[in-house]
Amino acid sequence: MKTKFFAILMLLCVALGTGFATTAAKPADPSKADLLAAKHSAAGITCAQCHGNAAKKQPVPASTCATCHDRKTLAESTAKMNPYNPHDNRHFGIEGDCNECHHQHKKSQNRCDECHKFNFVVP
Amino acid sequence: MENEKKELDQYTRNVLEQGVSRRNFLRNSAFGAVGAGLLSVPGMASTAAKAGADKKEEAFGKSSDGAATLPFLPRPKPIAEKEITATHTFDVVVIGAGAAGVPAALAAAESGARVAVIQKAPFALSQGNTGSGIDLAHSEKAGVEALVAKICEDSSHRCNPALIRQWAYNSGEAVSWVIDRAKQGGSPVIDQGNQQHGDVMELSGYKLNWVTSFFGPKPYTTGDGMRHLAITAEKAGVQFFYNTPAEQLVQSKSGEVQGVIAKDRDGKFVRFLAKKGVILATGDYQNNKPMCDYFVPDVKNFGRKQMGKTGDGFVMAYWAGGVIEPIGHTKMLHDFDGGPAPMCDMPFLSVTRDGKRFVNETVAMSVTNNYLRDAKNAGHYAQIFDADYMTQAQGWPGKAIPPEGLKNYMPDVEGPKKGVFPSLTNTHVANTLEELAGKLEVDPVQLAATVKRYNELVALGKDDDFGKPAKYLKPVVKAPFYGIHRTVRVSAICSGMLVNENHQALDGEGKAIRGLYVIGNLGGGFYGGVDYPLTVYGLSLGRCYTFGYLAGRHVAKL
Ligand SMILES: Cc1cc2nc3c(=O)[nH]c(=O)nc-3n(C[C@H](O)[C@H](O)[C@H](O)COP(=O)(O)OP(=O)(O)OC[C@H]3O[C@@H](n4cnc5c(N)ncnc54)[C@H](O)[C@@H]3O)c2cc1C
Repeated sequence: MKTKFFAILMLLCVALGTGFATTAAKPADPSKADLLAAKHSAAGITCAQCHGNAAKKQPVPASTCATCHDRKTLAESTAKMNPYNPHDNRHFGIEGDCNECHHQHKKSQNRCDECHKFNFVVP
Repeated sequence: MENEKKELDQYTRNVLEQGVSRRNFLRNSAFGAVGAGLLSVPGMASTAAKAGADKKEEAFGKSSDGAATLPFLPRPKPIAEKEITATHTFDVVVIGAGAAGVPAALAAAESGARVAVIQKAPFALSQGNTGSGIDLAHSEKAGVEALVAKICEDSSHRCNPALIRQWAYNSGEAVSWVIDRAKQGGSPVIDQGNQQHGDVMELSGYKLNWVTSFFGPKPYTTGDGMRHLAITAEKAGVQFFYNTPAEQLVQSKSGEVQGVIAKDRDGKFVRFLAKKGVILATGDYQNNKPMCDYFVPDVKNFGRKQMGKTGDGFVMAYWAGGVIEPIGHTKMLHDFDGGPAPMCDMPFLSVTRDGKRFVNETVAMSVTNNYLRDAKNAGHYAQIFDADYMTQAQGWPGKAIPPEGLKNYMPDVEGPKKGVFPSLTNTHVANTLEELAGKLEVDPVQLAATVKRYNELVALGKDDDFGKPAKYLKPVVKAPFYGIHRTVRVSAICSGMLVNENHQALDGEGKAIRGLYVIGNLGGGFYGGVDYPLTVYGLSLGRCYTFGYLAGRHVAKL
């Protein structure tokens, strides 16, 4: 009885051990390398530049995005997108909330598709 | 006070008793505290009672299934004087530049008031095309009253008839005025007169004529229309503050609403004081999920047609002492984009996504949502007909659009579309039912079985399954086959705050709250049924314009 219990314990340890080893061996979660946060970070932007220095990290309002991504310039750069310009639309003009579609720490999404079929690829 | 209360009409008394207000919470919580014996501890009474009250508020805020709590009505956070970066003073402050707010602002300015409009979005924003009013000069009073009776019936007699009458007797003037002033701002709006009202004009046999503003065709809508009307309003002196969501009302100790604090686009607080009154016109709350779960749980699985409608006005009016109409709010769901609007109520064979027939198809689109509330169907269904539909549907309600015209609604047909939002079109044609099922995203095997059964009933000349009248039973046999995939989504929720006939908010005692007016879908008393009725096309916008026009003038003249 005792030996059986010990064997199971050992097995568990080994299983957990290998589990840890594999995750630790990988430099970074590859699924996160495509996220916008990684791109911002690769461009030399620090967490604090968006989130501020407060102990509790604050959510980032679109006005912060706009300090680098000028809304007008952005809208002009996507003016030819098909079938509509997502950055100058009839709901929000050029003043949409970036966070609705572009996420930093999870996959971005195409909010337009909740009602329309626009097939935009959202970075 | 009691005397005053006795004079209130039964609609108002009912909402005072059953509605959601601070007073009802406090009343409930006081009972709770006494029950727990907390009030008997001298000196501790107030704090203990308050703690009890907070708990009770939470409990009272639960819907019967325990799913929703009241956090959707968060208590306004105190804003320190030093956080307020600017204060502006006007006579009238309108909150929300939509179908009710813009007309209210212009009407107030034309009556001599200095007016500000605080708008959450970067420009005026609204939706829809048609807004209706009665052309009184060319209508018989009996006809107007018959229509009032019909609208009350459509709302299951749960509305405030006084408000329906107010719309009926003022809407012609208000809608004409909106048309005229929007044109001055450059709008292509037209008066469609009786064009959309054929059915309702035959209702009573009495004479009835219409003034109908049509802001269209799509992609031009009332949103564009209100932007054009705002140009006229600016010329009349109205100041618009865009990207400036209102956050909380400024209220005196005695309860008078004196202004509003809003956030400007840099996130700074700005205060707008209103010498005569604040007019709240922030629309509905369809994008506030907990609030929907609480007041109108039926819409849980449906998509939404609007964005950013988080019920901000409800929170503000509630904390100012206002009363929200009780649970069971009226919803508006439709789809005029998937296929032609005049075909939406034609009793063609209709099926769910499973390919099954689900209803006697004489049921109007405005209520079909009630059969499609589950997560799988979520408002989706398909109308199906065959190559002979033009002859088969003669004499049916609505109007069949010929095949050439249907192409305008077919996403698979190349070429420019006119008067529609191309990305919302969803009409299809195919040579086989199987192919059609694929395009409509309907189960093909079940569809084949359903059509087979339907054709048997047609041959029988009796709808043994759903009792649809024989004149609407037509075979689906001849290629090409047509289908319209409709997706009803929430256009609006049209229940709101308790108001009197001046559109002034009432508190839990039934007393008017000084300085606070509520219009548009945020205003209560105009509906009350399970669904917004589509008897009068454009009733919703017509009512928004009319009450905006009346409230704006009333407040300006105080
Ligand atoms: C697709 C669609 C089609 C429709 N078609 C028709 C039709 O043909 N005929 C008809 O009669 N009805 C129609 N309706 C319904 C009709 O559009 C609405 O009932 C009507 O617009 C409601 O007007 P409102 O003034 O209450 O709200 P809205 O017109 O929605 O305006 C509310 C305004 O308040 C602003 N706001 C919200 N919160 C704040 C805040 N905190 N601070 C400042 N501003 C704020 C919003 O940005 C918005 O501009 C349709 C609805 C939809 C969605």
